[in-house]
Amino acid sequence: MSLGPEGFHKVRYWEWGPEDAARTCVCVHGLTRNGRDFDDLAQGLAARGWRVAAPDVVGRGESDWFIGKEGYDFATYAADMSLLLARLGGGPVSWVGTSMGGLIGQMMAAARNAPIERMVLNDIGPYLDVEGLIRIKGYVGNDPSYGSFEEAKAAIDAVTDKFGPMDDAQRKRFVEVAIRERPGGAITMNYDPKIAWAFKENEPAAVDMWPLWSLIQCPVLVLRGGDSDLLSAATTARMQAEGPKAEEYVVPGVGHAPALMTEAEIGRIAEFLEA
Amino acid sequence: MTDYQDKSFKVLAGDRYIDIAYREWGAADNANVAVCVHGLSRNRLDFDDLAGTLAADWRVIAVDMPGRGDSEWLDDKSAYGYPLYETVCAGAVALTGAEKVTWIGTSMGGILGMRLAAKRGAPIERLVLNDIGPFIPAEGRQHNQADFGKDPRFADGAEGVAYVRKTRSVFGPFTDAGWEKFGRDSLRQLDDGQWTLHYDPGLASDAPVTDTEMWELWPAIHVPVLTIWGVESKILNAATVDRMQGTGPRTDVFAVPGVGHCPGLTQPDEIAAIRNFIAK
Repeated sequence: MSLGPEGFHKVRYWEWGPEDAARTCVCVHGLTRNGRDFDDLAQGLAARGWRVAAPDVVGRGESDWFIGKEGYDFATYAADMSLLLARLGGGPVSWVGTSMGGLIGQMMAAARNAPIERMVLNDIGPYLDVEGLIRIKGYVGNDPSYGSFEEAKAAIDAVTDKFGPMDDAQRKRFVEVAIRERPGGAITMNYDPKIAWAFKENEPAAVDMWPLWSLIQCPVLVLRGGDSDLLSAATTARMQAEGPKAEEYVVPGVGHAPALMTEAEIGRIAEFLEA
Repeated sequence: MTDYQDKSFKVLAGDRYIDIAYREWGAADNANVAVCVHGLSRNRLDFDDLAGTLAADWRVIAVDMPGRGDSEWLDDKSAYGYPLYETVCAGAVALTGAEKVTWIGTSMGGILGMRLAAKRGAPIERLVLNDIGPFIPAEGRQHNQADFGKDPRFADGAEGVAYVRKTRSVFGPFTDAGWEKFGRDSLRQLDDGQWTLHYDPGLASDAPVTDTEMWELWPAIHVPVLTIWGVESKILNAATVDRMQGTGPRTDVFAVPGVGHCPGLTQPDEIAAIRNFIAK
């Protein structure tokens, strides 16, 4: 249960590994996705002795939806994630954030006395290129209806073809966790269309959070999709030179964002988190 | 006393996380959870007797609000207030993992309970209000806060306990040992060896003291309420208790005669009244 502008709302999270594990990692998904995106990474980390928690951010997956739209903002998300950390025992955690999950992570890690020990940013940094935001605005929150799984998969594949790499089974699950059935039987996306209100009501513009970057104290690993239209090589170069001086790992041939489903990606993340 | 653990969690307050201390009794897998929050200048130790008794059947969490007890003090004193405290309370509920908790609040802790219970989707299934209601007369607040934020110094603990006993004489009833504990729990020792009160003097504001009117919360509370009432209280008067019984959640009342603001929740009859109410 979390407290927001409309009273209390429920934030659900997926959990792997033992509750009394020595190390805990919180994995937070991108704008329209949910905690299930981390199935492979979480199993990989759990096998190495980690406790992993992957929330569905409010408005996504199994978590509550707001009645109005204004609650869908980063202040709410950061407050909700802070409560999740209390739920996980109140101690320090590692953070893996894909896209929006990495924005929330940067905001939290920039606060003084932040309970984040190490942070992995997946194709996200303190500067977001406008090209990627224009592309995302094109499909987010359109509240589509599909007649069949195949139809939904084709539509989702079309807007997430840069995610990867994934094998066929992973690609199928990537679609399955992203959809839900409407009361009439039609298939739609597994999130509240209202989460997109800020995208819909504002002209796309590059996002600059460099002042926040200099406040982050914990070690950071940034994964960049080699073909990303949201995180440029210039941005990761500056991320490596300033503030927490991130390490960089490039996933070639992938855009926004790496799916964190390959041995190589999972291994690199585990290596960083356990350094 | 039953076993307990002192623990902490962090709450985002503006541009920093602050550490919040809490004391926990009972089995962590017990689904019956009670959260206890203290009054304005008090701290989690006020619930030791009550929680120690309840712990046989309940998991009990008693939280220090920011600026009190072992929770952090804020650099920015203007950030002390109900919005931050509500966030802390939500964290206390969240850490238990319970869908619903019983709320036990003394004075300010009861105001927090009313504010939370009146919200949509509140994770509160019953409410115990210790000498607090939706209306507080200005005179009562002036009386209650007469020495608030004065930041006194005591040469030793005994002098501090005597000060607390004198300035908080309407509390109780306490045995002599109870007064000693209540006094000691109110104090902390400074690096120079002197003693002072166990809260941030920066909590005191110089805003004018007025009647506090919160009746809009009352009909929005849809859970059973027990009010513990110090009959001599200047904070909770008879007219307010009447209206609390007649409207909204129609509170049960347990009156503690001869006591003002507020009952100490250390006496067997007070503890039994709470235990019976929350067992319903």
